[in-house]
Amino acid sequence: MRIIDPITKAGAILFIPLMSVALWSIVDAPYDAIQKAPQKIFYIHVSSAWTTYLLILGMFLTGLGVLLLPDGRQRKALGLARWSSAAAEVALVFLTIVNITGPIWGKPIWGTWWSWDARLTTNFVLWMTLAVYVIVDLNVARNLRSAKLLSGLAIFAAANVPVVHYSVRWWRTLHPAPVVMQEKVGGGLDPAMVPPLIWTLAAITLLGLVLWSVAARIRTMRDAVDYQLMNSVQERGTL
Amino acid sequence: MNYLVAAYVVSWVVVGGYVLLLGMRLRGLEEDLQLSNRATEAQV
Repeated sequence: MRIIDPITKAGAILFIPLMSVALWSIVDAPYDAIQKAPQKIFYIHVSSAWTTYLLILGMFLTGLGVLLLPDGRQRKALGLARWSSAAAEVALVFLTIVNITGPIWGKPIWGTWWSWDARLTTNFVLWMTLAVYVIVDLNVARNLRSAKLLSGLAIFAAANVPVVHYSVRWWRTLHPAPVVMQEKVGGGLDPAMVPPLIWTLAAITLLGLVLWSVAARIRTMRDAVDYQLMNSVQERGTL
Repeated sequence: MNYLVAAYVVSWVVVGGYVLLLGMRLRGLEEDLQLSNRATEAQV
């Protein structure tokens, strides 16, 4: 029985050359005049943050589907719930990368690993929310009620994302303001740094989507197998 | 340079650890699938 579909497998295979190109372009990219080598953490840090946002969007949309579907569509709702919880889990992985690479970058530049400024604090709250989601998801029974409760938490987590993103504009922060997505035409990024950013964004986004698909399909098959095994025990009294 | 290397190494360790976790889940799933198929065949 096929667990992982061909498209996900193709994505996983495509990731290898894509990441290779990204890594090569990062090595080839120029150093920042002031920050030197640590500035290149920017590529993995920003790409992981972007992928986290994308996965949280997926978590939010599928979670919303769980809440909005009528009770008669329980099977569909549970299917969406698997994709929502899978997105939360993978988003947590990439947000962990953001929260580790950030301080590693901050230490040589700011002289400190951490600061409770708006960006870092709101990001930490988002990480805690996703961690709570994953812990609860691992420990509750898989039914429509728990799926709806978790969907509510997913919406709360998604609502935090704009706060995290705009925190550097709304408050005075140690974390720098956006370099890539600035209002002024041309942005603040050196043109030579754009190709490695694009390659890394593409590679990490693809990785995030592949992992999301794999995690969701494992959940689907897990529930199917558990259901089959449970029925077998009920009918025969044993496996 | 050390910070740069550390950041990328840690990133790949985190992703690699999660991929390992997914791999372990997949293996457990395949074993349970075999168990489930044997149980179904026994019923038939």
